[in-house]
Amino acid sequence: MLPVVALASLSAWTLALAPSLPRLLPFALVSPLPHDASAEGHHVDELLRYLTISTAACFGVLMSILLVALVFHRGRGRIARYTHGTRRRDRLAAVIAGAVVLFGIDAVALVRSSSALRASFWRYPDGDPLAFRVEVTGQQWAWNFRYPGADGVFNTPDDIVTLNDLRVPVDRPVYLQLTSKDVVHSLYLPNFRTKIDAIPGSVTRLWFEPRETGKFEIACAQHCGAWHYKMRAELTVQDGADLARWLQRAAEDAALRYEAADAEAHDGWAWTPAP
Amino acid sequence: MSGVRAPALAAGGDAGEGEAAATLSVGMAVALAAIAMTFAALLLAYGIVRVQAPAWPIAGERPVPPLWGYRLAATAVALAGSLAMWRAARGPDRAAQGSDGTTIDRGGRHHVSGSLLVAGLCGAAFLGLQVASFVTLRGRQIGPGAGLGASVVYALSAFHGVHALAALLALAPALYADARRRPLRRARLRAVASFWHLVTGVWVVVFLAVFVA
Amino acid sequence: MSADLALAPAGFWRRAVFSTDHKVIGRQFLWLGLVFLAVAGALAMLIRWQLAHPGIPVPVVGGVIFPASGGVVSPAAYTALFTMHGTIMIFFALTPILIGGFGNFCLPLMIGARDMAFPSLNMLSYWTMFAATAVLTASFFAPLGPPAAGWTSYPTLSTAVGAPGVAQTMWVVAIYLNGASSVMGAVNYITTVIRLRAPGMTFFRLPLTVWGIWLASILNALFVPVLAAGAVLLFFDRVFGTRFFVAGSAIKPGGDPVLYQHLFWIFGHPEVYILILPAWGIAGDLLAFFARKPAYGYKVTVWALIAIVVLSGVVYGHHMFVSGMSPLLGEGFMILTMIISVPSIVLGVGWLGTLWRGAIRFTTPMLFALGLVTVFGVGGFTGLFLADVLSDVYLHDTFFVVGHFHLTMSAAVLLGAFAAIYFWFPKMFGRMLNEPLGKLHFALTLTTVLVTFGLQLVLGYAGMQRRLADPSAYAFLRPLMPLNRVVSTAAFVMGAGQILFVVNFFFSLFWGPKAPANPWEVGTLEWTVSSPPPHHNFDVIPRVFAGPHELGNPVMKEARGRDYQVQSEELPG
Repeated sequence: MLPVVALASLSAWTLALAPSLPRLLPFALVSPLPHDASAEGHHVDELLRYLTISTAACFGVLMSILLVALVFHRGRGRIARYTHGTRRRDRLAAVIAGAVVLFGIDAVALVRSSSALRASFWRYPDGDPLAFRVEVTGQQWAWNFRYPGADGVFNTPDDIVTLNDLRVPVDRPVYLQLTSKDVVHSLYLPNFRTKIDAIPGSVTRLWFEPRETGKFEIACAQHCGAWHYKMRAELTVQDGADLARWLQRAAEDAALRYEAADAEAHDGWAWTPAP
Repeated sequence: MSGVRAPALAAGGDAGEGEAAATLSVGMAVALAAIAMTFAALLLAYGIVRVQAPAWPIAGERPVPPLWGYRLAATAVALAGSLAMWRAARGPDRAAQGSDGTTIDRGGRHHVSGSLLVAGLCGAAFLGLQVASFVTLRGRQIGPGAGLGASVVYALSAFHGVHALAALLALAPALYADARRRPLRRARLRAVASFWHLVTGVWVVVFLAVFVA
Repeated sequence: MSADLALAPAGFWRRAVFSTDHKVIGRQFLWLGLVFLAVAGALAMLIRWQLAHPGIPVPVVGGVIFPASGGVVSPAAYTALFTMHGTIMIFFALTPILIGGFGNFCLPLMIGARDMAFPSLNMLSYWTMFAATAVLTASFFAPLGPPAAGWTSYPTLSTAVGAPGVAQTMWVVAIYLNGASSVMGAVNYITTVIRLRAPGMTFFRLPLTVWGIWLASILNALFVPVLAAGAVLLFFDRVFGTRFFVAGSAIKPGGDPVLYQHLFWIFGHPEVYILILPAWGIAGDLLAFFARKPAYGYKVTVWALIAIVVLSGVVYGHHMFVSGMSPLLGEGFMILTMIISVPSIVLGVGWLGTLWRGAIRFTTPMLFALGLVTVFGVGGFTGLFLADVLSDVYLHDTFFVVGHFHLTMSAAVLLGAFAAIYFWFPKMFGRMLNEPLGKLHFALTLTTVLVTFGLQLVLGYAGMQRRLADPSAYAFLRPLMPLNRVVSTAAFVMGAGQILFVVNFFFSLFWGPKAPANPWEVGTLEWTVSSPPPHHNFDVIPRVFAGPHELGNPVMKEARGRDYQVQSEELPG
């Protein structure tokens, strides 16, 4: 019975998936990860690769043992071996399996993760004069980006505030501080392997360093209401000169639009270094 | 625990009275642990809120008046109620006990009756004081939304108050049976008493953590 | 509790509706759970339709369910769909089936008791759950729409700020009632196992099913109250205007939405273990029963389960790695979460050791138990990707998480629930389910589960976020739409395949062959009584002499001509 069912399922699945295979093939040949445009993102990719290989290997070993048992140790004709699995070597099997997982996967992943986090992701460029700072305010359902303007101080009349338009320089650390006007959002940069929640009433922070120019997508990664799926912004990485030109034009625009009496629009905050 | 020693393994569904009492004790212990966890989590929330606040009471909020009169009276009444319940569940000194020691018979009834009544009155008084304190606060324009401090006071007191009401309601069958001169099961009284003690204990902690601190 | 053995209550209402008999209450929970499993499954089908064909009206039922948008799943409707799917699956399907249903039915029988420690509390627990379902069902019809803040209900989206109207408040009330029912059940189960075991039934002779349910009950008793606390504060915020989670319009001291996340996940992580512990226990028993040999390393398995229970309380922070928590705290949670993988692998070794050199019988319950082991293997390993802060920052809130928890929690638990149903149906209803139909159901379910949720791991790896009404709004996700369609196809086949189960269930209920007392030829106590058992369970409370998986003992074969020893039977000679 079982072989018939197995064969039937396999055939059904092959027939069902066959038309889609051409479109699925790219995923088998190329990594499905989005293009990495960041300086530090490779740590994430390497860790993911290591985890995939090590867990797949472990899983493969366990599955092989399972399949051997299912094929060769079945049927009413057999006599099952009467053991409670309490001998010394039985306990050893558990210890070895635990050790392999703990030291082979857990410990290695832990060390790689911790070192990468401490060396880069958690090292906010607080003292770095090259850091390009932007304050981000999420709202339902858009991202507001506030640039400090010529005076380098936030929440002053020369601030530039854009909607869904984040422009940053290439090869310089980009340092973001975030909050939200209403509900919890999450700023997600798939091409930079990072994200952070934007929480009303508090300030979170994120930094990354783009390695190439171009346009990338910014997504929201925390359910924030019906139009969560449309909370998309655009990240444009430009080289110094292009960015300076844009900032210049944007500053002129901001000066024209500045309205001292509009208190709601002045929702920047004093830049606070990481604790 | 009553005088009957339960064997290490209970005899399943054919248990006698003493074993049923032991089972009730275990069940109550678990139930009380669960209820205590709810209050522990609420107090944890309060702790986190307080630690994260730059100052307490929070600047810019109207401070919640402690209403010491009400709070101290409520605490006293709660403790008195617990004491009365302890006396009632302990059983009278000279009771005529059933052969398995679990039924409180007529002999020392008036001790039990008295204690139960006192406990009931204390419980009612506690609830009355809590309600009065809410009304007073509202009268001074401090509602639950007046700030984080007010939120803590209202939420913790109200949620605790609901349990205090439940404790009072749990006492009702015993009071009723007592009035009708029916025998009371000591195990059940103990169970109700332990719930009372938890409610009192939680109030003492809330009183110290929220009002005194 | 006095034992008037022969007296079952008379009258339809006392016997079948307001009964205190754990077997009746267990079946009531099972029915409730199965109905809501179907409802949540249907919601999943709608979700999958929208993800595969965004903007296209749902065929056949679209016009009826979504009249306002012409049969299309609107973005607001989508948020309600995934909220209710998750809420119902966890709280109103899996919990009632495994814990309310099988916990109730099996526990007293397996430990040799006549009923639970507190039969009236048991009945109250069912009706409280029923009340919770009534409130939740009513919330579907709230004027401003059903609850839509996700099953996690994070503020401030779930406060009056993000979710005006009565639906979210009703959600909170339904969750609170559900939690109360669970805690009542936990009090009962914990006490019953401690106090009402038959003489000779030591803790280390309990079937693993009992261990799984008992340990899950301990977690229930300790951690559901924490959810209750969060729910109470959210309720106060919504109804009385308190400011626990409401932060104000800009950066101002006051409430903290992240506080809710702490309270929620202190409950939430143990919750996933609450769901899987019974399934692990059932799998442990079934693998031994159908390999015809004792469970491998029974004691070590029990200690591993206990270790997981203890650890489950201290790993919750891994759900909050991107909420801005301090790096040190993040590292602490990362280390603790990874440690849980060790007892989990010990469980896996136990299962494999049980099968090894067995005489495996591929009955339907066994197939589902094997499926559970396989699916949990895939899902469990993917947990390591999420335990690690560095990889989790990228994978958080993507479909990788969705694939992970569906594989581990839902599929493993769901497969475990099916295993339990196929195994105990004869005992519960006195008839046998159809084997060939069961095997076909298994084949369809296992393959579709692996394809559906396995491919979701790929989608998440590629960066697709969860809870998106239309992923094609992002350019980087458009190439993934064909993959979404494959996932949806697999999901539709999975849904359709369950019809086999429904047909089998109802047909066998009325016309299945009558079940003998011990159709599976195993030794736990519930198989020593008739199928279904009499009202009082046991004529005489048995005395226990052996463990639950005494199979394959050559002494038994020689002396009695069968390969299993009943727990209440002394070893001959």
